[in-house]
Amino acid sequence: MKPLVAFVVVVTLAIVGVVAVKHRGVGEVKSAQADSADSAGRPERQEVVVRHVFSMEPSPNVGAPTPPPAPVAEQDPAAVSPEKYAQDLDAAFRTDAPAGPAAQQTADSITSAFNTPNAKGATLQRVECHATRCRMEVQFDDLDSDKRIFKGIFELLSSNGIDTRGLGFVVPTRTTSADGKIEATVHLFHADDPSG
Amino acid sequence: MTTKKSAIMVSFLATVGLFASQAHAGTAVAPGSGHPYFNGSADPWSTSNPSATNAVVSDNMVCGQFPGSSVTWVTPLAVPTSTSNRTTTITQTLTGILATSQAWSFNPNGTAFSGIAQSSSTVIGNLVVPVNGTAMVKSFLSPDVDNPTACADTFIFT
Repeated sequence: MKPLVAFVVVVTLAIVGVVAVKHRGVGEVKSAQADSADSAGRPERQEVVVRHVFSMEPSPNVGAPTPPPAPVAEQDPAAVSPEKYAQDLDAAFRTDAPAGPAAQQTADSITSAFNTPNAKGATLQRVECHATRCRMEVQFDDLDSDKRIFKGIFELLSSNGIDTRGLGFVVPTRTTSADGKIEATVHLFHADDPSG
Repeated sequence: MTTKKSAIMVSFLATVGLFASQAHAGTAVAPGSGHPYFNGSADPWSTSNPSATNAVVSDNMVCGQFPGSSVTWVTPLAVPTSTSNRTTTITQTLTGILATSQAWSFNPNGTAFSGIAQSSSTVIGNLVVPVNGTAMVKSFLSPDVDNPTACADTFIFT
């Protein structure tokens, strides 16, 4: 009797062992080449997710729920492309209120400033002022004249009757011709103007 | 395990990048971190430069120390511009009615891109810095007998 009981116990244990091994094998296939039985749980789930995100091949799990879209990178509100900035400046000038007597006086002062010796090397080709903004086209003889005259631009304007407190300027575009002359578009405005 | 390491590395680099990109936001700059202006000189600290000999720097502040003298002080601003123009708002505290500042930005070739003249004792204004450009604040400190204090305090730009 005892040998029979022992035989039954051994057979039962063998069957249980085979079933257990089979189940573990299925888990290994599903877990995408896990390194060991101990790592067959939590780590494999992470691997499956990573492969869905980075794989360039179509996913075999067509019916599976798609992963959430990647978050859109936050834009820097203070950053703007040079082209867009130049367009915005022109738009701000075009939509500025028409010139009044004060604007004409400012344009006259700018013209006078560029006729002084301190502006030697620069030719004011055009100046137009609206209610709060001016746009100038200036030709510089060369790069050195460009740097020198802008270095003292506030002093040049204030010495010709323009109140420079809070005044700002921007040179969004410059073009250099073959003879080295520089054509610059200059915008003048009050610095607290957000479009400036 | 390789995937796990990669994920950790990516997370680390992303964190470093996040901090690096925000390093300049709201940055405060002491005028003492700048230097005296000397037109055309390679050495702004030369004893022949009045802006160097007439200035005194202490506790995030630079002052003109002799009535009748004039000090021009330059403080560089580290505004990050790699692919776009960037607008930065600059505030500063000036002490004395004979202290004023301008903010400037320059193109990579040294030509001026933008400039603003300070409108009040606390606000310089919005300065636009071009792609790969540089920026600075230029302070003019000219004390006299009636107004012996002319100082520029910390700048803050965002």
